[in-house]
Amino acid sequence: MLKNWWKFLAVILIAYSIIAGLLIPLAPGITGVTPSRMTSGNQEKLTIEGYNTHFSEVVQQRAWLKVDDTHFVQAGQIEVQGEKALIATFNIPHPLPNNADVAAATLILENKIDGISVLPSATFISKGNPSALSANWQEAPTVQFQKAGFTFPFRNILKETIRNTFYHVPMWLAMMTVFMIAVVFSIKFLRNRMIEDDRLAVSFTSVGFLLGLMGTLTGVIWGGYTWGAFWSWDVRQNTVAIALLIYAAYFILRRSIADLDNARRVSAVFNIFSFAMLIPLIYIIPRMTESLHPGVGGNPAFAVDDLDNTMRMVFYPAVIGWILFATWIAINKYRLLSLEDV
Amino acid sequence: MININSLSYLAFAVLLPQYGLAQAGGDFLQNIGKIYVVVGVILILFILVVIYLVRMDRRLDKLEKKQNEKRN
Repeated sequence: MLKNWWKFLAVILIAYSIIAGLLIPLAPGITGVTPSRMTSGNQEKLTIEGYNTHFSEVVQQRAWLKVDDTHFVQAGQIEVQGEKALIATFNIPHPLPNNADVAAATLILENKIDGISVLPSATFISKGNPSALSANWQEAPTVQFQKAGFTFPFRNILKETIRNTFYHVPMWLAMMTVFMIAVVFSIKFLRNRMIEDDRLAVSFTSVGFLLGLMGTLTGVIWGGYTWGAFWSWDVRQNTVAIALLIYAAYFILRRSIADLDNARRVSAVFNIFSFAMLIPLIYIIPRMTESLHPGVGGNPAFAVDDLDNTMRMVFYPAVIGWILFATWIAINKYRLLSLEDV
Repeated sequence: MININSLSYLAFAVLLPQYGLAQAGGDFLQNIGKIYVVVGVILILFILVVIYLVRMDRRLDKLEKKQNEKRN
């Protein structure tokens, strides 16, 4: 039992990531703002819909519209309609900065329980006429409240799907680790010609391929809900598909050679080639071009902006758990192959 | 006679309190009863996979022991 401690750890870590990843609530955020068009110089009422907010539980609620870093306008009056609904009245100043014809306005809410919530481009302000109602643009306000409680961040497009980070990403990281182990054993086999090394290589490659398929599937489902299509022909999706096809070719190649010793040798070489193709395909090419995917193509790097400290507490254990779990499956396959004496 | 199996009882018991609330859907707290069902189902499926792996582990141990004894 004691020599299998890492298997227990794998199960515990993955079960923990399932429970914590799905049950910890999201931070408060803004889901809807109407109307989407306003005019400067007018007094406008904005109907705001919140998510996980506590508007009726706070005494003081503040709201701002931000046009740029030095032009803010605070809501003169806020009417609370429920825990998740507000009507904020703004006297929009005139003219817009640089006398622009239209400007996108970011909505910022702040209260003691929810902290700060931001919705970029919540509404658009077009040029109107000066009036007695219009106030002046204000400087950036000082906000004082941080949100209470242990929550995952609320991201405007992702919303609840951010939880997929704990399943989709660890699978890919585990796949990379497992493919790395596989190529090490392939190289060892080519040097020492010991059959155990080849069996380990094919076991780890099999598990890595499975993880890659599951990672692609979870990504496809995630993209279906956030990017609007299950397959967007995004560069990362394309290169990942190519990399997996190359690894699929490894298995076909291995089976297609009649002489077993030859098959082992050729597939070991092909494994090295496949791994060598994996690095530019998955890491380098997507960063060189435009992409929808976080971490590549001009988007903020993953694990800097996509994770915050609350998510790291579930994410890192999940990564370790999945790597250990994948190793368990690979070792079992290796033991099976050894017993079958193939 | 109504045949209630344990899973439908669990779903029923968890979802029943939801009929007492009048909130519109979308908020986390309002759906929290249903998310427990999701977590439970996923955990059950995962535990089934783990049980399969543990059984395979034991069978492999037995086979390896037999093979070692045959060799020695």
